Amino acid sequence: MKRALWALLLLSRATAAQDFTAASPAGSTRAPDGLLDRALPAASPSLCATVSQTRWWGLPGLETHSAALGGSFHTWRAALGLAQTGEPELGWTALGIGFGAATRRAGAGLRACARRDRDAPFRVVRVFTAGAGVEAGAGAWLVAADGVRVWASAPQVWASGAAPPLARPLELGVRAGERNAAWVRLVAPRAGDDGERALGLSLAVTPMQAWAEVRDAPLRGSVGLSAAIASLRVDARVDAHPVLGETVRIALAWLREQRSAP
Amino acid sequence: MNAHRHAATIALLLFAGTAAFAQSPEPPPEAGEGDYTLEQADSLDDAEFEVAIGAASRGGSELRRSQRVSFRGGGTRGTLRDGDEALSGGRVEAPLAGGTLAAGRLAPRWGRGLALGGAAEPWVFSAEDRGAGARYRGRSGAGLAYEARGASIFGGRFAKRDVFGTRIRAGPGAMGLLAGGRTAQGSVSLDTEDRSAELAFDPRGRWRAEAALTDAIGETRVSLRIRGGLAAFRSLAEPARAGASRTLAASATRELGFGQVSAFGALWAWRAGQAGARAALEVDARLGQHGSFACGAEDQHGPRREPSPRARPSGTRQGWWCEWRGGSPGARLALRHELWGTRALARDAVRRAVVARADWAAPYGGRLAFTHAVWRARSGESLYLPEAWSDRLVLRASSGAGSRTRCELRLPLATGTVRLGLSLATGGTRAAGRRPAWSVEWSRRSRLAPGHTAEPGPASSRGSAHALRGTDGEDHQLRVVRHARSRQGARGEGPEHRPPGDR
Repeated sequence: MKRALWALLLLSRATAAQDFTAASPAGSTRAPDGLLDRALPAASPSLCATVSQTRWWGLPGLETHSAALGGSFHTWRAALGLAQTGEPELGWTALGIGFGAATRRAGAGLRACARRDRDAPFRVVRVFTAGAGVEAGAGAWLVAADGVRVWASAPQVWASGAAPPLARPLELGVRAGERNAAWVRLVAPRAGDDGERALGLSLAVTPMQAWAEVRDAPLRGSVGLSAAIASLRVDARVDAHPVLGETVRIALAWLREQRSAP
Repeated sequence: MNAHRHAATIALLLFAGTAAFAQSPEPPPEAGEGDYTLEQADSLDDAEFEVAIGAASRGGSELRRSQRVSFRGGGTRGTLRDGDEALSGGRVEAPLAGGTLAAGRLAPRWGRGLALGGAAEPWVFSAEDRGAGARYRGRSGAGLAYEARGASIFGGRFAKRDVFGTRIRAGPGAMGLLAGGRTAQGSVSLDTEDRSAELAFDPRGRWRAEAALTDAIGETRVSLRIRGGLAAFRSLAEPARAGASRTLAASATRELGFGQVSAFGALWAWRAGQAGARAALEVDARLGQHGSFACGAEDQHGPRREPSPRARPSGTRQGWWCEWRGGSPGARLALRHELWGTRALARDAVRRAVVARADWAAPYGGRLAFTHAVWRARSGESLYLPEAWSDRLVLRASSGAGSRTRCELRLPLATGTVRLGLSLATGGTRAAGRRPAWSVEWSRRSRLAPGHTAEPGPASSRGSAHALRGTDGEDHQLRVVRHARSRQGARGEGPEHRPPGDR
């Protein structure tokens, strides 16, 4: 069972996302998942808290629960997150931290994530001991023109210890528009595949936002829906894979922004 | 004056060739497998000198220290290096009796380079590391050279043999004679502002001839190059750079409202049955004040490097690439994607590379740059990833699948500039799995006149001691060498290559 689940994960290569991915569409730098997952800090200073749940490929035993906090001080951004995936005998716990700086026109960040198997009760100190898997990465984005955001994210520049469940290479992307938006992503090749290309669209009808993305190799897609009321936001996302099935994510966020993102 | 005119002619042809087709540098034919280092031509102004000390690791406990001194003033100039594995040695020039005496590393060039100076690859109009005004400082040999108005003479060790040469110029014409290894070669050349031709021959009747011209048809700048001769002809000084015996190449560049459009085509033949061809189209568009977007497509057939007589015919390669740069001088981002395949429209991919580079202004005039490259090459294929240092360009040989990350920080320190570099490679190279490799270099550029310190100038394409290759970097910082050799069993990274003259 354990091997089968790991095989599914390794075969999936589906979302290039992992423990702290919320349900936001690509290119969004909404805190804190952008900084924790892709090292892309939020454009606007904000204070936020997010909890999310992901059910991978419809497998009840393979779920990720995560909680994250993010904050800002002037142009500096920071985020901290904790996630658990899978059942105790085969899952893991991840502790993530992100740090960066951003203005309305550009941003850059660093992220690090440590994972530890759930075969023993979790303690923070365990992620810093031998046997833990550690990865670190960096990302940057900038506004190339009004309403056009370009980003590069390399979430696993360096890894040590136990291998991460997904190899996540460099990702490049460009997004035009804010709430009504279109984007293109390019994921660099990994050993054994030829990378990934994605095209997405987002439409907003206040207070809702719906989006969809298609990806190749193999052809598959994602759809998402967000609703925001005051400082609360609910995101839902479904990733469909022709072989592995569906992955469902739901996230609830409390977000207080000083200004809206460009 | 003549020397200046010849240098101008070469520079014009270089410009015409490189502007028409922004060719990324690649290791020369004589380079072995593994990384290759190109030395940047110095950027010192008159009455300036520069000292640099550094240390670097190679991903392990091995530590390498190096020193460098460069100076220029009153007609004297030179660079001396010590402890540098790839670029040790140096070269000194000084005025003497109305001419210039040079000692040390030499990279002379006569005419089109058929007899001396390395005949360029079929798709490059002039070798970029040979002769006066070259973009990179070549190291074809070591010895003494003297050049005066109308005449030059040199002697040294080239390609593991002693070679002597003399050349006489009269107006646009020149005649030269090379001797070494119990044989001799002659060269007759003609250089004008936009025309260049050379005939090289030896006593056994072997010969090669080449002509190149640049001109404008309306607003389109065109260049044409044609070479013919016998495959058996080899330069005494640089036999490995003989190039194809027959070549026809043309390029055209035109400025349009949105940017520059370039087209390039070349046909060549090494010997009967072993011919090759390349054609490319490139568009470089400006986006606002600081941004640009460039893309291109290319088609290749046949061997790019001289194959063995029994080599099987090389297949077709089609590729395309695109590159975007944007941001402000304070924060810049550059992205590049490149794909090569064996079928039309780059299908059946054999090489794919994605590169991102971000750099930011740091306090006190510093600069922080972060470059991350990911590639995947099919078995038997390889590519080179350029890595620009303050005084050199290192072409990192890569194969398989992997990534390379380099972080550079430049800060003013102790009246000079300190540069810190950290590199990490995973997969695809022999360096993979090693600990991160680091480098540190402190340099100071000063005026020879006391009391004056050279002011950091604007970032030039050649770079300066106080600039990190410009705020957005040169083209070659991102360009993946698009035409890497195809070889059987290409695996890993060999030892740091040194040109033959360094061995």
